[in-house]
Amino acid sequence: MAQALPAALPEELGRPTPAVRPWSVVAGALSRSGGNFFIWAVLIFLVAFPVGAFLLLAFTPRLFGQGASWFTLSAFSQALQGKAFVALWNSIWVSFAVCALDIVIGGGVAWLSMRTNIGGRRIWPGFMWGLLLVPSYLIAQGWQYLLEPKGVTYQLGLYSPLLYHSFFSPAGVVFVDALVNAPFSYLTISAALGGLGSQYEEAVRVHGGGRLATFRVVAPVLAPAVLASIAIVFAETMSDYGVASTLAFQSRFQMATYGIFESISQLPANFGVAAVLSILLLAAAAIPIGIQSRVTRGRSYAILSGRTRPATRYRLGRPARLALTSIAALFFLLALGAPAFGAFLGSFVQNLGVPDGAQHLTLNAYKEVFSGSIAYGHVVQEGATGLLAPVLLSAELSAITATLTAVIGLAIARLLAARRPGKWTKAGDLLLVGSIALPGIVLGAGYIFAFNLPFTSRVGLDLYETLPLLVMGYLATSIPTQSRIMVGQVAQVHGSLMEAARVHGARALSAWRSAYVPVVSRVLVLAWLITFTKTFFELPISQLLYPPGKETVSVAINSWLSNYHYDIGTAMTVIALLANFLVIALVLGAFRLLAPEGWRRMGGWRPVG
Amino acid sequence: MTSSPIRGERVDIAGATKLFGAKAALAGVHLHVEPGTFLVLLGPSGSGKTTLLRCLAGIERLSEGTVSIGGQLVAGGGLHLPPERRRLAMVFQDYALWPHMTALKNVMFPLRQLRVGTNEARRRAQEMLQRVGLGRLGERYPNELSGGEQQRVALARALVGGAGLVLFDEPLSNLDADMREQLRLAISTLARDSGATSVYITHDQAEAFALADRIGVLRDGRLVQLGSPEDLYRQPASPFVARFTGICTETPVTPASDPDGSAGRGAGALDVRLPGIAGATTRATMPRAVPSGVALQMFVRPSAVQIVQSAEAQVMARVRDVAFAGRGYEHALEADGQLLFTRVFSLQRWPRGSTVGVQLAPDGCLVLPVDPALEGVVDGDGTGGTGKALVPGGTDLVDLTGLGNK
Amino acid sequence: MLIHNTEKTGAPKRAARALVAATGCATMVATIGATAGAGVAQAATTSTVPLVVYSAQGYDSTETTAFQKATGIPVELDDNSTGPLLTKIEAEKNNPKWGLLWVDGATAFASLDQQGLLMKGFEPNVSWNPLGQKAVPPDHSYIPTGLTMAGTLVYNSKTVSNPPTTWQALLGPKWNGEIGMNDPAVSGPTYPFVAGMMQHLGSVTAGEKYYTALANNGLHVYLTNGDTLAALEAGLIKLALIQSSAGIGATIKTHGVIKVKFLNPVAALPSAIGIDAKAPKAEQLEAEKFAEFVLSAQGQKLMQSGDPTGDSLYWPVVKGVNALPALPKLSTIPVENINPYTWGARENVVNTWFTNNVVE
Repeated sequence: MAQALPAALPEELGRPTPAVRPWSVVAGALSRSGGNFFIWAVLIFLVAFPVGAFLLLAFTPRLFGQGASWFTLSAFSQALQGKAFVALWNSIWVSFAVCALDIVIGGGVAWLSMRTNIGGRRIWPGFMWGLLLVPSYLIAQGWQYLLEPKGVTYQLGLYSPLLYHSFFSPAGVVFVDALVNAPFSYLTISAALGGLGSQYEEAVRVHGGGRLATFRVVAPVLAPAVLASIAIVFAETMSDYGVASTLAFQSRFQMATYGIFESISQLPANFGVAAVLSILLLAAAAIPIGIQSRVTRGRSYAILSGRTRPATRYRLGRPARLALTSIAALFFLLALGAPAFGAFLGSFVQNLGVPDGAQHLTLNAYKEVFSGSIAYGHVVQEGATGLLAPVLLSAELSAITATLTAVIGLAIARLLAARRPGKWTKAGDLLLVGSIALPGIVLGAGYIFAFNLPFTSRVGLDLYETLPLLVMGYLATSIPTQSRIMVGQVAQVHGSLMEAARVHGARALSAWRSAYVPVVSRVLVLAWLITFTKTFFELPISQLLYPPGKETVSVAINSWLSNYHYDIGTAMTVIALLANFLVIALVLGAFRLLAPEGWRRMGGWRPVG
Repeated sequence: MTSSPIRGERVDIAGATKLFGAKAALAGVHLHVEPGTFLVLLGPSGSGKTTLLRCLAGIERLSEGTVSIGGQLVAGGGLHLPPERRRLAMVFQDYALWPHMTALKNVMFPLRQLRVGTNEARRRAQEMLQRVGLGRLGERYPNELSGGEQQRVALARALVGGAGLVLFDEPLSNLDADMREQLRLAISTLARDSGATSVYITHDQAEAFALADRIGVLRDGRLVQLGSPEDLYRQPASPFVARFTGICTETPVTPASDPDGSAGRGAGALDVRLPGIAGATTRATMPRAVPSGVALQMFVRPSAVQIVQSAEAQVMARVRDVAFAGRGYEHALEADGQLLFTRVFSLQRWPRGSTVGVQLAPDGCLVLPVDPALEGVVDGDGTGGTGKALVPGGTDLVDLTGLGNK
Repeated sequence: MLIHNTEKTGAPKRAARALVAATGCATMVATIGATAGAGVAQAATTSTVPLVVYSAQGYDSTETTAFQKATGIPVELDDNSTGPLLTKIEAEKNNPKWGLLWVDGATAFASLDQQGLLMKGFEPNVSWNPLGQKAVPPDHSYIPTGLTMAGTLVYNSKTVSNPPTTWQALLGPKWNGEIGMNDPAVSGPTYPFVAGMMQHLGSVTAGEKYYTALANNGLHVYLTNGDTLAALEAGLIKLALIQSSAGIGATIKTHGVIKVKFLNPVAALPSAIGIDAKAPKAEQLEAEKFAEFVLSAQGQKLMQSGDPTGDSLYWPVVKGVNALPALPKLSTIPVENINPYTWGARENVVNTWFTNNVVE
C-alpha cells in the first residue's frame, strides 16, 4: 500500500516552521481561494468589464470615442424625456405580470406532475423543457400566423377580430412572454418541490387542516424557490427584445429594450442614452433580487437529506383528473403547437396570404437551401454554400459555449448555493441577474467597446471579430441564466459528498469528477442542451461580433429574411430547428445509453416516485 | 479476517486556531493522540469539535498552529496537505454516500484510489460489507437503504482502505435509538480491530464514555480537559466538565472547618457545609488544589446518592417523582425545598411524597471552584481559559443528567 | 465536436472523462481560433491586407467573391442588416475594423461623413450618368452605386383596384387603418422617405403635420421593409410604403399581383460605398479598387444578377448600363432628391419625433 509521500518535508514538531518558501505561500493562497478567484475573474472579464464599459458611456462618452466630454449628464436629461419612463414602466409591469402568470403555469405544472396522479405526468416536464428550447420569436410568430386576418384561423373559418386584437395588445405581450419564460419558473419551483417531501402537508392534514390550510403552510416553505423564479423570470422578461420588437411594437406598446435598441440604431448612435436606459433596467431588475435576499436571508435551500421520503401523490377524482389532464394537454398543444405550426406553414406556403389562388404548398425553399443555389431560384450565387457552413459553424460554437457554460455555470451555482453567502457572492449574484436583464445588443456593443481597444490592437491582440470573442459573448449571455437555474438543484447536494471523496483519497479533480459531477450530471446535460439551443439561435450578439465571412445560422437566416426571402429564411429556420432537435435527441440518447445507471438516477427533471 | 491490522497513526495538534472572520472556532488547541487510541472529542454545539475534526481531515484550513499525522506535518507553517494526502478515512454525520454509486461501489472507492485492482477491491469491499452486516445489500443504491444501513456502508467505506487514522463526525446523531446502540457497538469493535487511531466527535456524554479510551472535552474552541473516561468522571477539571459528564445536583458549599473559605486548599478529602440545609455537612472530594478566597461549588454524581434508613441519613428528603428504570427505580428527591437530586437509583420503589434519608458518597461529591478564571486545562499544556460565565444550573441540570448515566 | 465525443465514447464509465476532455477541446479550439485570427492579421500587414467589407446588399457576396477572384485581394464580408452594421461602425469609432461600407441611404453616409469617419476625395474612374452625377457628394466622401426609391406605394391589385394617386389621398377615410410603413429609427431606407416628405412640404413642421395626420388615420408602423411587406401579403394592411426594390421584387414573385406606384414625389434612395477614413492606406486603396470594380461593366452585371427579386432592382448610376426590365422607366418617376447633408444632420431629431409621435 505504497502511497506517494507529500512533497513538503515534515518539520520537526513543536517548532514553528522557520522559513516558508514563497512559492508555497502563493500556491497555498491560490488553492485556498483559487476556485473562487478564478470564477470571479471569469465573471468580471466576461460580464462586468464589457457591461461596465457600456454603462460608463452614460457619463463619459469620450472614453470610447463617442463624444467630446469626459463627464456629462446630458445623456440622462436626453433619456429621461420623451417616453423613456413609459417604456420602462411598461417593461416593469409586464415583467411582474409575467412572473405572476408563470408562477401559476410553472408552479402548476410542477405540482401537478410531481404531486398528483394527473395523466401524462411523465411527459409534461419534458414538454416544459421543449418550451425552453423554442426560440421566443417563433412563439410570437406562430401565434401571429394563427390569429391574423388571412391567417390559419381565417382559413379554417375561425378568425376572430377580438382574439386578434387582444393578441396585439399588452395582454398578448404578457401571454407570449409568459409562455417563453414559464420553464424558468417550472425549473426553480420543481427543484424545491422535489426535495420537499410531503411531511409538511401531512403535518397539516393530521392537525385537521384542509387543502387551503395545506397551501398556506407549504407556500412559505416554497417561498425561496418562488422568489428565485420571480427573480429570473423578471430579468428574462425585462431583457426580452424578440417580443418587444415584434408583438409589442406592432401593438404600439413600447418597452424599455426597444428604447435601448432605438438609441443605438440612431445615426450618430446615441450610446449614452442607451446606457442610461440600461442602468434603469438594471435598477429595476434589482427589485426582485432585493426582495428575494431579504426574504430568504439565513434560510437554507438544502432540504434534501437522506431521510427525505418520496412524496405521496394526491389522488385526484376521476372528473378532476380528466379535466386537469385535458387542461395540461391543451396548454402544451397551444404552447408548443402554435410556433411549430407557424414555422412549418411559413416555410411551405409560398407567398402566404396572397389571395390570388397561387397559394400552394411547396418544397422549393428546402430544395434551395440544400442545393446551395439560394439566390431565389434564378442564379446560382458564386461562393454560396447554402446553409451548411453556417449550421456547422453555429453547431460548433454552440457546443463549445454549452460545454464551457455547463462547467463554469456549475461552479458559480455552487458558490451561489452557499448557505451563508458573503458580500462578494451577493454582489456576484446581482451582477448575474443584472446581466440577464440587459438585452443582447447592450452586451454586444459593450463587447466592442471593451475588447476593441486601440492599445490591444497595437500589441497585436485583436479579439474583436474573432470566433473566441463571439464565444465569450455567448458565454456572457448563457452563464448568468444557467448558473441561476442550476442553483436550485445544486443547493440540494450536500457538500460532504465531495469532502468524503477527498478524505478517502481522491484528488480535487478526481473527487469533482467521481463524486460530484455524476450527482449533478442530469442538470449539467440539461444546462448544456439549453445553452446549445439558445446559442444556436442567438442573434444580436452574433450580428455585432461575428467575424466577417463566418456567418452564424442566425445571421444567415436574418440576412435572408431582411432581403425579403421569407420562404428561404423560414426553411432555414426549420432546418436549423431540426438540426437542433437532432442534437438534443443525440445527447439525451447518448446520456441514456452511455451514462452509468447510477448517474441517471440522479435528480433533474424526472418527478419523484 | 484476512486483512491484517494496521498500525494506528500518532496525531499531534499544536496551537490549532481557526478563525471564521473575527470569531475563533478554535483558539489554540494542543492535543496528542497515541497510536491506536480511540479518542472522543466531547463538547456542546459551537465548542469547536467539528472544526477541529475538519481541520484534522484537511477539509478546513487552520488559521494558525500545526497538525502532524504519524509524525509527518500535514498542516501549519504555510503547508496544507489536502485531505487525500493525509491517509485517513472518515464517517460523516449525514453519511455522505455517493448517491450514484451502489453500496459496494461506495466501499470500493478508497481502494480504487489506492490503485487496488478492480477484482481485489471488489473482494475486499464485499468482505468489509459482510463485517458490517450488509453482505447481501452491496448492489443497493443508498436511497434504497435505511439510515442505519447507510451509516454501516459509510463505516465500511472508512475502514476498508486500512487508513491509520479514522475520523467520526457524530455518526450516530441521525439515527434512531436502537440503531445507535448497534452501530456504536460496530464502530467500537471494528475500529479497534482495525488497529487504527480513531478520533470521534459527539455531544453525547454517554456515547463518549461508551466508546472512548480517552476523552477530550472542548469548550469555546479550547480543550478544557483530556483524560480517560474515569478521570473525567472522578476528577473533572471544571464545573463545565462536571456538568457535561453527568451530575444529579449542584450546590454552593463552604468548608466546614473554614466557613469564610479564606485559606487555600490542597486536593483531597474535605468536609463541607451544605448551606440552606441546617447543620448539614458532608464529606466531599476536592480533585484539585484551590487557592484561597474562591467560592466553592459541589457537584454530585448520580451514583454517589444513596437512599438509606433515616438513622444513617445525612440529609432528609422528600420523594417528588419516581420512574421505573428496568432493573430498579430512579427518584427525584427534594431536600429542604432547596436541593433537587435527580436520577437517584434504588432497587426499591419509594412512593411519591414520602420522606427518605439520603447519604452521599464522598468520592462522588466533587468540590470545585466556581471562578471561571480558574477553569484551566488539565493534561494539556494550554493556558487556562477565560470562558464565559457559567451556564446557570436550573434546566441545564435536568437536561444534562437526563443524558443517561447508567 | 462535443457531439462526436459523446457518441464515440465506448465505455459508460468514460462519460465523465469525455465531458472533461470536451471542455479541454473546447478551450483549445477557442485558443487556436484566437491564435489563427491573430496570425491572419499579422500575415496581412506584410503582403495584401484583407479588405473588410460591411454590407447589407443582397448582391454583396456575389460581388465580393468575383472581386476576390479578379484581383486576388482577400475580402472579409460582414453581410448584415444596415442597422447592426452602422451600430458596429459607431461602436468601433475608437478603433475601426471596417474598410468599406456598402448600404442604402445617402443620409447615413452624410452622417458618417459629418462625424469624420469617411475618407474624402476619391473619384472613381467611371463615367456617371446624370443620375450618378447628381448623387455624388461634393467632398467625394462616398461613391453612389445605384438608386432605388424610398416610400414607394405597394399594394395588392386583387384587393385594391383604385390605389391612391396623391400623398394627400392617403389621409382620407378610405385608407383608415390600411396603411403601413417602417420605423425610420430602425429601418435605414425609411428616413429618406420621411425627410423627402418634409422637404416636399416645405418644412420639418409641415412634414410632422403630415405624419401626424397619417398616424391619426390609423397608420401601422413595422420595423423593416420585410415586416411591412409581410403585413401587406398577410392582408393586415392594404397599402405599404416601402423601398422600391422590395416592392418590385414582390411584383415579380407574385407574378404581378402585388403592384407598385410612385406618388409625386418619391425620395431618391441611393446605395453607396463609403471608405473608412482611419483604415490603413493599403486597405483604402483596395476599397477604391472595389468601388471601381462594382461600377465596371462586370460589376454592374453582377449587381443586377445577385439578388434579382430584391436589391438588384435598382436604377444604374453609370453610363452604358440599363436597369433591369422589371423596373419602370426613370423618366416616368417624379424623383425628389434630398440634400443628404442637410437632412442627415436632422436624422436623430426627426426620428425621435417620429418615435414619440407616430410610433406610440
